[in-house]
Amino acid sequence: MQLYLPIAEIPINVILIVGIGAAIGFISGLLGVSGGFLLTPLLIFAGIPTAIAVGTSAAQVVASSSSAALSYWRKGSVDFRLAFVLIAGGVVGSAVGVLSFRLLREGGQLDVIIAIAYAVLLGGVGGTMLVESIRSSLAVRRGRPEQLLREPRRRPSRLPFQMRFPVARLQISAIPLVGLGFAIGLLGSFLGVGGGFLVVPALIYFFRISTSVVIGTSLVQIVGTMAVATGLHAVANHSVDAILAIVLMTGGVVGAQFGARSASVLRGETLRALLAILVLAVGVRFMVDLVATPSEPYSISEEA
Amino acid sequence: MIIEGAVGALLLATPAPEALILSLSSDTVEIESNFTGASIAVFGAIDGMTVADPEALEIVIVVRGPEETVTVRRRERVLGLWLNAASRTLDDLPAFYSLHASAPLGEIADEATREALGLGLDAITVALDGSFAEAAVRLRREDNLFDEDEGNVEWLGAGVFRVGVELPANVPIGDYAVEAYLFDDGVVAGTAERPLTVVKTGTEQFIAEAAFEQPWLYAIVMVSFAVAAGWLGGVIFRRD
Repeated sequence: MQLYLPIAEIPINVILIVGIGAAIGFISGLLGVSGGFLLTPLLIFAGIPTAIAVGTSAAQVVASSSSAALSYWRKGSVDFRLAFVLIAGGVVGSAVGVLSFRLLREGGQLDVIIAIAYAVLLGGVGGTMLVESIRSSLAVRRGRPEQLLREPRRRPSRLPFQMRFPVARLQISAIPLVGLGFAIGLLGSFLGVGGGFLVVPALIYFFRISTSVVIGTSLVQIVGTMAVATGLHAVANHSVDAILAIVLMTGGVVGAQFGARSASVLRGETLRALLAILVLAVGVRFMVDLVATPSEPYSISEEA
Repeated sequence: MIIEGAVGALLLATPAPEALILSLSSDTVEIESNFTGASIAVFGAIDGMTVADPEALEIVIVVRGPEETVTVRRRERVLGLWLNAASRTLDDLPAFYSLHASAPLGEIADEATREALGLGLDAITVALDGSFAEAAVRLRREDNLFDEDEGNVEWLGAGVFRVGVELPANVPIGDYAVEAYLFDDGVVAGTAERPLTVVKTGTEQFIAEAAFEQPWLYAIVMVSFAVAAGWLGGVIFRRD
């Protein structure tokens, strides 16, 4: 079944795109990640132009994260003050990201830079995840409890703009938080990823916030930052395809619910190892495309 | 335009230009959500034929898309990575070019005539010049946007011809021209042209116009829609 995309100006196979959405939704429901870091690459491999893959992934990340964010909000495990400080940095980061995205697109380097970013990011994340999951499954096998928390680092010394975050039970300068938000906004708008896989460890290990508050807060931050990124992509690059987004969200929303239900049934370490291998494989694919001699060295693009 | 000037010059050189009548089965191709390509039939006739030997007549039909400025880039190895390095901007490259002829092009007209009229992919490559132009034509051909089909124009009777033209699913939007060239023994004996428009209609048109003409509104709707979709999914499948 084919459906013509109004912005991408190509027909797509609906079954394939619903399937991609459902698979990403399943992973995100299962592991509590937004899945953007796999969605954008899969869309690119499916033949969607890079710019539209990134812009539309951002919209899909908003949909998949808002569902989970709402349920954490109901449980009261969101520090909105903290989320807003992170989003404030995220808005600026998104704006810088979307702007540089546009400049690179006009300069013709966008696809290559995104491929490099994904190769590095997915290679790093996938490799770390794989090592962690092997280590923890070995620890379980030896009968030792899983070591989740490492020795936390010292909090950053007293910087100006101290703020109190009552829900997260934290008093800290706003500067490193805005900085973290900025970095995530930049990455998110540039690659169409939510960045939860970076925010959650940063808040837990670096800022020593309790895990129960971290996930909900990070989800609210992702919704806010990626909503801004989606909007900016739509305005500055016209790269959000409504039909593609609707088809993806249909698959994604359903997949996420099945993922969330399966989470209690399936074994955590095995799943994390499988996801790590998947992430690594996508990263390697980008790397191979960059390093291998291309069969067609030329490419063509219309002037904007 | 150079090409039109050349046609004019060739026509002046011909003593009695034949009047060509050209008709399309449809002068608008509408792209809807179920669009997977389209085919149009091009019909033509020679009105009041004056040539001595109708057997020597040949027809070339060109479906030419809107011209655009494109950038062709070449990847080169930099520090082990294949990055876009050299690039060239090509002006006036048609977004679509499909040529149909009643015989192999080489038998219809000589190289100089083909180049003067811009007939055939070789002529386009020559006009643009260089390895980047060759690559551009090759890439367009791989995307099914450039095509040459010699020998598929059918003569239905004396001076009446027909050809079916396929437009692929990725056919670019814009104003096209369908051109017909009548050759008599290697010389242009008549030309005709009909406009063809490829447009988005219905939902496709609505969404594309919203995205480009009301980007702020489009952005707000997209973000609201995404949040609503997430919320709806959470409500429908709520477990507790």
